[in-house]
Amino acid sequence: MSIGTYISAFMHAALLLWLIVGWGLQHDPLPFEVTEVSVVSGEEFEALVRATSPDAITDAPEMIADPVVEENSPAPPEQTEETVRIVEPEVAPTPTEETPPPQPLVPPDQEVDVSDTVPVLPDFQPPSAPDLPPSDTPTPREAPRVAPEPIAPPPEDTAIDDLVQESSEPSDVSEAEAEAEPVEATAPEAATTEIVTEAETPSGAPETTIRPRARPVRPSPQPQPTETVEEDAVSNAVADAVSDNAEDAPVIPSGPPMSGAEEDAFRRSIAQCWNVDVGAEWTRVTVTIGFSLTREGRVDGEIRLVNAQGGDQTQSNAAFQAARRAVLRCGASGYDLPADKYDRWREVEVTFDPSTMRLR
Amino acid sequence: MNSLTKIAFLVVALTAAACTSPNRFGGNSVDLNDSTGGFGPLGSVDDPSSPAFFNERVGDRVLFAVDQSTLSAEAMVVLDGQISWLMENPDYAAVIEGHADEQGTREYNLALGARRANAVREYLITGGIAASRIQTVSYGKERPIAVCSEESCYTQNRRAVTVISIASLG
Amino acid sequence: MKRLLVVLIMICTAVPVMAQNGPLRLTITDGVIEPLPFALPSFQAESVASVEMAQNISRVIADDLTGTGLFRQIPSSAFISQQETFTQAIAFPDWRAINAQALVIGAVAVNGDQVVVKFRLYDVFLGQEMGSGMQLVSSVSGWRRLAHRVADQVYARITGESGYFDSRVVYVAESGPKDNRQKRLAIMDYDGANVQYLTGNVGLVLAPRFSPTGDRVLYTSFESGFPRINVLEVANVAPRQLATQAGEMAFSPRFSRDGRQVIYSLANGGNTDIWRTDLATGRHTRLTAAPSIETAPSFSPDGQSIVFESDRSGSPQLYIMSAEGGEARRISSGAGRYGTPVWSPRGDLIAFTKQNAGRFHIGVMRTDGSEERLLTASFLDEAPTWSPNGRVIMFFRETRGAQGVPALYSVDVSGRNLRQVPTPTAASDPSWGPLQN
Repeated sequence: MSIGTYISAFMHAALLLWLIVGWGLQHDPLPFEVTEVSVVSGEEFEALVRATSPDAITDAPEMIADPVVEENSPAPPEQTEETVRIVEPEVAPTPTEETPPPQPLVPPDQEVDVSDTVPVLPDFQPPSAPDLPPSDTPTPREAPRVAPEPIAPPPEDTAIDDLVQESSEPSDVSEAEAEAEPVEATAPEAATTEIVTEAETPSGAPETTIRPRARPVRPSPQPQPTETVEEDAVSNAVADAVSDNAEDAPVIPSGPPMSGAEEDAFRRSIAQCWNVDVGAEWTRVTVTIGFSLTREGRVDGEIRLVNAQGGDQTQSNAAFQAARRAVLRCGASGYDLPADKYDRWREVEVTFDPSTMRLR
Repeated sequence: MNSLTKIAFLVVALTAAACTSPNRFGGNSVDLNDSTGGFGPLGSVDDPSSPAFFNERVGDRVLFAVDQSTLSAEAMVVLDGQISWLMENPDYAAVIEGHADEQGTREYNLALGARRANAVREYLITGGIAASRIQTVSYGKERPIAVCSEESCYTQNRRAVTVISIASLG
Repeated sequence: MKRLLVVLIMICTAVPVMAQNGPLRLTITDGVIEPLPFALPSFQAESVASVEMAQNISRVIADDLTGTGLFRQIPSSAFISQQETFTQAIAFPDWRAINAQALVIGAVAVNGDQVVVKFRLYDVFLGQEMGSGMQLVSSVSGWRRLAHRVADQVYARITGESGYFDSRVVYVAESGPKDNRQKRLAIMDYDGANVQYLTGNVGLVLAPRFSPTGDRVLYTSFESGFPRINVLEVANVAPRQLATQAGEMAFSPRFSRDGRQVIYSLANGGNTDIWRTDLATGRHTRLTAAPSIETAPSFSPDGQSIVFESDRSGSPQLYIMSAEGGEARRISSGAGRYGTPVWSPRGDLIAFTKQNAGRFHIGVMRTDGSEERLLTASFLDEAPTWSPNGRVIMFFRETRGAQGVPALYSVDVSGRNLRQVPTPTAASDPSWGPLQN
């Protein structure tokens, strides 16, 4: 037989095989697969957890009793009836497994320092040569952290620690790091002062970069209650003063007032832990939280929500959580405040106003 | 060209193309405009009544400026030739394909290609070709003829191509 | 008179003293923007058979969270205490010490063809659970959806917004050379996993669009030789041609938010206008009647308005009109050409493709055209689509030149966290579906 015949036979066989397998033929009957995702009720869950855990859960036992019924909880399987059609693709794709680690998380190199110097205009040539694989995402000069003050990237072998003061504390942290990664210095994570989107990279002109900026229309950043509370305070004070003013002595703070610099340092020490998700809807909300501090500068008792303005319940709650996290986290080892003025900062109310940062 | 040759061509064309769906970019159809030079299914380039002659000598395509659908003077010359050829070969019908270069969104380029194809169609109709013989389709930027990302390629891609087929099959 | 004076003096002395009374008040306007560090000890396997599944589920949850750019996973090598079991007490100081702000613990059990996942989320610095424990069940093959569900819960509890991980994307899988590209419809999980093909090689298919419930897909097909709109049932992969107003070409379709209407472009006599077809009644309504090109329409979430692209001013720009047609208001005002507008599911923003000075951008603007922000820049970026929660935009990016190929990318609405979405072939025209239920 001629080579042609062999080829022909082979091709026909392949064609037949293909027809039998039927891959790619759109009207083929296709196999079905049912994926059911369901959520069990709180009671079931509680029962289940009890069954698996004879010992009481020490830290949050009462939470388990909470009903797990949620608005967005998935339907039970019988309702789902949801059928995910699976056509086995010939190229078995397992893309996620091979996904490279997210690029933005890689600490950027030298270029990060964007402070105030106008960078040299980069070449207008797009970075990707025709032969580059598409996966070669050009990474703009973007640091994962955007902070009011730029921080130059740390040396390569420095562990990134969000809180410098934590690492300087001799207690848990150094032990922890001694266990985990023995000889590691920590430094604050590299930060730029601005969000650098890819669209802004080519020109590098500062006026086009997105500094989280003020909106034309925005709710008054000053929370109302401050005024009203003070008004009340004034009227009450007048009333008190008129009637009997001798009893108030213990409430009036003693000692000199906080200086502007001291207040500012306190403000900054909280702000560096206030993580603002600028694309989130909760950035429409200005929250005021109140808390007490011990003489050591640690948060004493609960942090309460004093006021929230500008969003719905969910958004207010998310804004409150972010504010609370900031105070708790940066104050984990106690705020550095002038001890002689304790009465001035024993009670604190902080207003977190994201309106100049938000993007939504 | 005698009628025997014509029938022979018809048979070849039929077998090769199976149908004259204008979707000549589809999986398994044959590009009628793929001129093979000598004596292919399109006939001889030297035969004035062959599709090959139409494609090569008359010119099957006209080019457009960026974002434009107005016909240039050169384009009109080519289209005048197409009109004459279609007049002399009444068995053929035409599908005019509008194309755009890759600078532009998919949706806009589809609409732009439709505009270009229509500009050609209108011109042919004005020249006396029956409207029923001419259909239009737009491929937008989906089917570039030149693949580089330079103006030299874009010029060739901003085009309207007159694809002829046997009328009775069209 | 004397009495009044006394009162005035009292007030004058009282006010400054009282103003300093009460709490110290501070206002903070400048925070930081950084990924929130979380710890996710590998979920406990409740049997030997569950070990691999527990690892896989843990990994997908962590990938979902870190993939948003809003979270950063703390490597387990930094852990001080190991979470051995799901019920073990949480050693909060140990997690605070490594600056974990959120802690996710969980357990996985495989029982026959069933996977059961339970998890809890903790606010580490507060020392409390966020929300309550939850358990989810699925078939073994649906384990990825389980993981996405857990990640959606974590995301929602921390950000206050619904998640988007348990969602799918329909797109065009491309192969072959640039001048004879083969295109097929494909569907995948939002992260590129579980790719399935919905059409064979039936000629060109373009720009699929999910229905609001994710059960149907609209797309433009050249199967007949001319562009026509097809609607495909995802469940049984059955396509049929949509009965549109008659015309030379119908393309660029999109569903209304209630899934009952389709808006699309129709070309007749070289002129492209926008039409609306009611799927129940089959009634066709012409919405624009200009000699210019009107295309790429997209409904507002409330169904009252339509944003679209038109070159009536001489170059393609964005306009908004009533869903009934009529007068349109131009919203784009910057230099360059604007196209493919898509209304965000939250209703506040419009994503678009912009072409300016030889480059393409994906950008967003408010619905009145203000506050335009460009999020990306490349040789060719096109076709934005919103994540179901309106937080992320997926689009495609095509590389330059004869070997140029498209690939899918996503970017946070803030412009941060640009990343490629892995697909087995070249890919374009993504359309992000809803959260699955």
